[in-house]
Amino acid sequence: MSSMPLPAKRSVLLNRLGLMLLTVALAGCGRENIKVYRLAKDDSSSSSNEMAASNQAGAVQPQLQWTLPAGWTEVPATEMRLASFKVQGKDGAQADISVVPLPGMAGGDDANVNRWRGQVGLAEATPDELQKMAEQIEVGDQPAKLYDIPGHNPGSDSAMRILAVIQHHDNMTWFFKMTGDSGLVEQQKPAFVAFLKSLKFTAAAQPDELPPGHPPIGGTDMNVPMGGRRDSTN
Amino acid sequence: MLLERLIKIFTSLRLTVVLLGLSLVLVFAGTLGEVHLGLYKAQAEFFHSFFICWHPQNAAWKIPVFPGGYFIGTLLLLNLIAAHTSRFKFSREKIGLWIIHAGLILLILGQISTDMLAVESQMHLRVGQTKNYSESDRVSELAVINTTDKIFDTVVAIPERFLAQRNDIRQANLPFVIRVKQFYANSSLSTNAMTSFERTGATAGSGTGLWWRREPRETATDRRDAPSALVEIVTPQGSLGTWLVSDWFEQSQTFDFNGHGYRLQLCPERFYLPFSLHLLEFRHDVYNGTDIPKNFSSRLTLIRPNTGERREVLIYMNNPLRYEGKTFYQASFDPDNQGTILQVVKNPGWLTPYLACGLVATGMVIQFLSHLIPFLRRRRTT
Repeated sequence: MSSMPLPAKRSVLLNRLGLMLLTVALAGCGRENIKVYRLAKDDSSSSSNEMAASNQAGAVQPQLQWTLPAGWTEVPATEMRLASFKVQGKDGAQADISVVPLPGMAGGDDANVNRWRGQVGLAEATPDELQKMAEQIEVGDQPAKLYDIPGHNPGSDSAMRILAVIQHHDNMTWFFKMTGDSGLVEQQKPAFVAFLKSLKFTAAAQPDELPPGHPPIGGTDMNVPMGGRRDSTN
Repeated sequence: MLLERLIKIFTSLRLTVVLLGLSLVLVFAGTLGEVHLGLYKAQAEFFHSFFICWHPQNAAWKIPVFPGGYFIGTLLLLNLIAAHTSRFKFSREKIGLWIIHAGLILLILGQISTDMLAVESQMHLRVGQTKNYSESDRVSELAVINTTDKIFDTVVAIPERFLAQRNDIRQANLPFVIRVKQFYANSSLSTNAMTSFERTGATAGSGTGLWWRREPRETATDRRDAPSALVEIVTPQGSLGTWLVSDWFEQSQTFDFNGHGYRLQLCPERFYLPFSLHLLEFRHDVYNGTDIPKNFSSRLTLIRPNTGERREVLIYMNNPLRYEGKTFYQASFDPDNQGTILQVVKNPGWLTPYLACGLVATGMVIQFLSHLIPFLRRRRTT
């Protein structure tokens, strides 16, 4: 280890270098700022099939016809619901029924069922267990899965039950849920199943052309030799 | 003189040993910390920081208890450079050592540049889908899009950290103020009252009549947070209402102001590209008769509008697409095998580890040979 003082030039150089590096290191947080950019309208509409599909689903809301079971009243639907009902039982027992169509897979069946299980204070179930729990019923004339989820209201410890039905068709997922007091929901289960069977879906206008700017699927106008072509940049 | 003493400390070998010892402890502690914090939080707290801080539960203050990755790394780099310039005079005998040290310095500088400049994102494509952007899997942004123009949309993308500050957001391109009333970095929404859920308080848009609650942050690497925020749009002529924006909403919400149309959406941060990728086919091949995967590959069309470039590319394991300074790796796929997830990495410093290791290896060989050759010569003459 040198005990002689460094020549003046060297020490100044070291000093400056150290300071520079420290500044660089401190500034290196890479924090993002607000970005402003322009997108060609074709980009923002064709860049996502999901977006296009959900926009179209929003514009052409799939319509539904049903037969209202005895004792049920229709209530105004909120933004996410297509239809909303409620039924009342003895001693102020209440149950709420909702119809929510969402585009695509809407998070996946297992994830949704486990979320509802959590809402009534039950632990998550494995996909195998969930498969065993599902009852096959019919919604309209299409098959669907019914999950009977009894539990209790985590806040008040009163017995609560969710009957949840998931159906997939036409690239949409339909959720039909009855939530409320356990005894009332159990009593209303046959009415709920009959309601679901009575549903008629009025077909939404299916788009048969691709969103604007979308290239043709299959790429018939490409001259690509068999086996694909790999560039030197790969 | 203080400067002399400082230089003496920085050039000392003892400092190197101490720093290397500290980094051993840091790596050990960071690995254990990952168990509870998850990969990203552990990385941020232990390695992407100058100090590791500790604070008692629910306290606002915290004290640094151990140097973090940036601190140790910076000191190591300074130590290396200081020792190198002060001790080694450039001479033929020492050229090997010079090259080795240059390689080490390049390695550390390369890692700093990667830390600061590298951006990783993901592109999720279903078969038949085309996208010209990739998305962050950790950070969201609030996009306020002016849709008035016939040809272009003007997007103001506000990173979620601005929402987290719960202040007013003003931006030159927006004729109104976005007042953030509440922000949950991870949230759940519900269509009806559930325990611990509250009414959102939204007066306009999709959030009216919904309930929400804060959720703990996700720590698993394969799940991400779903943030939500309650924002009020305040114009010079009054409020346009309080809106709930949420990662849970797949559709954007629209409103008009002063004859202009706007869209509002909280979604993962987007990185737009000057080209699109269109997924033709995704293959998940398994060895015959087993479930063992043999190959994951995505066959895509690369479309570049401004040059007319249009070609087919194949991305599979260990064969990424390198294009326009970004590398696209086959990362994951949808369970139904009809969708692919590509990891998009932008790292300008990607070559530095290779160069650095090459330099170190070359320096070691030179240093070794510069001792070996005279030794052999001497042996021959005796």
